[in-house]
Amino acid sequence: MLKFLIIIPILFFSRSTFGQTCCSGGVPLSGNIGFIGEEKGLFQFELSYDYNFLNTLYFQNQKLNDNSRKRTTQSILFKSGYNISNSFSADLLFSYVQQEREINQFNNINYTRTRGVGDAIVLLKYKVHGISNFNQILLVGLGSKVPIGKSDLKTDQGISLSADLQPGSGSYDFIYWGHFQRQFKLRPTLVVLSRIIYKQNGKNDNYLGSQTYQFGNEFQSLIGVGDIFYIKNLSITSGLSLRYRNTSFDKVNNVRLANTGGEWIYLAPSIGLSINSFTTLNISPELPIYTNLIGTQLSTDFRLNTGLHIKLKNYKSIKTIKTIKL
Amino acid sequence: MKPYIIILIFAIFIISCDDDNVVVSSTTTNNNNQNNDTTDTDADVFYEWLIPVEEVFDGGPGKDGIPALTNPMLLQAADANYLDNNDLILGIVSGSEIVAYPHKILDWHEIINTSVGIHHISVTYCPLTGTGIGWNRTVNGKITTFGVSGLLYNSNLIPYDRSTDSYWSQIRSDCVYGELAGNTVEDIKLIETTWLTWKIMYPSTLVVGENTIFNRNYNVYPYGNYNEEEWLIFPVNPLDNRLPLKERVHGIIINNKAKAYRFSSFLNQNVLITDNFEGSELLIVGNSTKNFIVSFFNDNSLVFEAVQDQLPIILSDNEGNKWDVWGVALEGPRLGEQLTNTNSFIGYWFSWGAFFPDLEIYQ
Repeated sequence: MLKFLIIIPILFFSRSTFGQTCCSGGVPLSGNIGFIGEEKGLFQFELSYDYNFLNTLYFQNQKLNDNSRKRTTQSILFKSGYNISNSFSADLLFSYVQQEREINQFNNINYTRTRGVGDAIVLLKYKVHGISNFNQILLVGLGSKVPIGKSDLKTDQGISLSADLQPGSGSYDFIYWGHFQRQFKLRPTLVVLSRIIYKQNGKNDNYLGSQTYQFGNEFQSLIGVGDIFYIKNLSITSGLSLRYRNTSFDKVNNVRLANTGGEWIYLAPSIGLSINSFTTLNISPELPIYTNLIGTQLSTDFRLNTGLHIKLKNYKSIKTIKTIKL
Repeated sequence: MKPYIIILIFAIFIISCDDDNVVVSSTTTNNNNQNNDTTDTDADVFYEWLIPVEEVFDGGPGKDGIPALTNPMLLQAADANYLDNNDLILGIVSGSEIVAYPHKILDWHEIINTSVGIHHISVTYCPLTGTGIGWNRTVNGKITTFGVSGLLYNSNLIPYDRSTDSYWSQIRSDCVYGELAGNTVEDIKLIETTWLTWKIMYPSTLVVGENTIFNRNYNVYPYGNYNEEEWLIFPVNPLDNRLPLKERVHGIIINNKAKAYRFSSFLNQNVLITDNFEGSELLIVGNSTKNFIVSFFNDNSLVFEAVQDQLPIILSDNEGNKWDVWGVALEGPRLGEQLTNTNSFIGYWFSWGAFFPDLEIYQ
């Protein structure tokens, strides 16, 4: 069961990969899915809070001296995962989203906020046995984003809001997911991992009543390292990851929309405190270290994700391993 | 507790939240407004929209997200190295002051509040409809400035005035929401042409420089290939596709009806078209190469002909007068007299079709 312990650092990285529904805001759905666990019958839950703050205006990779616009996306995410067998597992994610837009210009502050249920994700994962062994795991997954969030919110005057202010996207998306991790005999708690996510976005066929809107397809890859340390009886998991993200143009009526899409590299340290053998409190800030956008766009300055992760089975085995370690 | 119970509870919670979608929108004004306007915005006061509100859309950047300029720095023509000769500008002449407002700047700011000669003017330009219209910013007896509301009607700019926070339709030139709803704004004549043609007409012109207080790359058109292709970002109603959607046409509005004149009706020299529309005799002068069209009422029974190669003079008449692009007699017995300008401007074809359904096209 030692390998079960290795899972713990991996949990942090699931928060470090996220997919915004738009360059200028967005809901962190696709990257927040994907529990790592391989034992049949394992249930995992996580309730997390995600804060994404955008205040820097870019032209391509050049920062513009204009911080008059702010966008924040705050999300409450509930994620659950169940291992159907030793090979197959399924994840389900629900979200509740608040989008804010603030423009501080000419001594006026113009503020718009939307709030509501966001979209959901289902992901089915499979462990590739030919590659997976005691030291390493390869998981592949296929999923879908289900548009249960509203994408047609209007102001109280009845004015339709733009796509990136809506809590939902209005489209069914496909998600292709892959995860590889490896630990080492010399230090079994040390894990290196890599993850790839591709989100192929569908169309919202009811955008502004008569149009289609399609967010740009998104590719993410992540590499990271994590380890567990102990301070007295407290187990602390720390990790560091580097995430590359690339999104293509959004499209309106199948035509490319200017000032959408781009590529980013983020650096994300993470830390987790094991409250007990089956509950972990995680926190992971994320900073962009490279930004290159198509046209002129607001981009993320800072992101924070924190959550409480609970496993409802097999915690005894973790406790046993900790005892051995200690 | 069984795990599936937890999932069920959360699913029920999510479903119960489904009716909890909230939209909040507000404007807070500081006291030291740089434009000396006072805004009495009360978020709880709602007015009736005079246009179909279901056809008003939030463009995305938000109110003032596209920042209007006020009194931007002006350059001599020779110093405006960022402009190419083929770049389009909106030009004004007032007394001895001659100023050009390039599309390159207006694409990013949409409104320039300024004063030229006797005019307190807002140069409004909507990049999505290609319409450039000058507005007298003395509204209801008070000088104000206009800002970009971030809203669009038929894909067209909706400015707001900073005195009352009322919302205006650019193409309609009237207030469509707020305290001043139903009021109209006085149009101030602008001429749209290329930078080269404008410099030929007015070599001493000043022009807005690229060093505004905002950090933008003015050499990049912010809408991709929007101005060249047959697609729109926002719905318009009705969509008239008798002509290419982005073809620039000169529209003349009389009695709330409009007629469109195409550049293809003019040759690569100054051409005079005389036409009758809504009972009025019209003079339309254009040049497809020099890239301008202007129009006047022929209300003094003169017989005109086009003049070549003497810009800004474009017309002469049977009395020996010579008239410029503003309709002012620069030579002859009627020196200083002015032909009556039409209510007209250049815009993308689709915008004319949306605001003036089934408008006539000059053949």
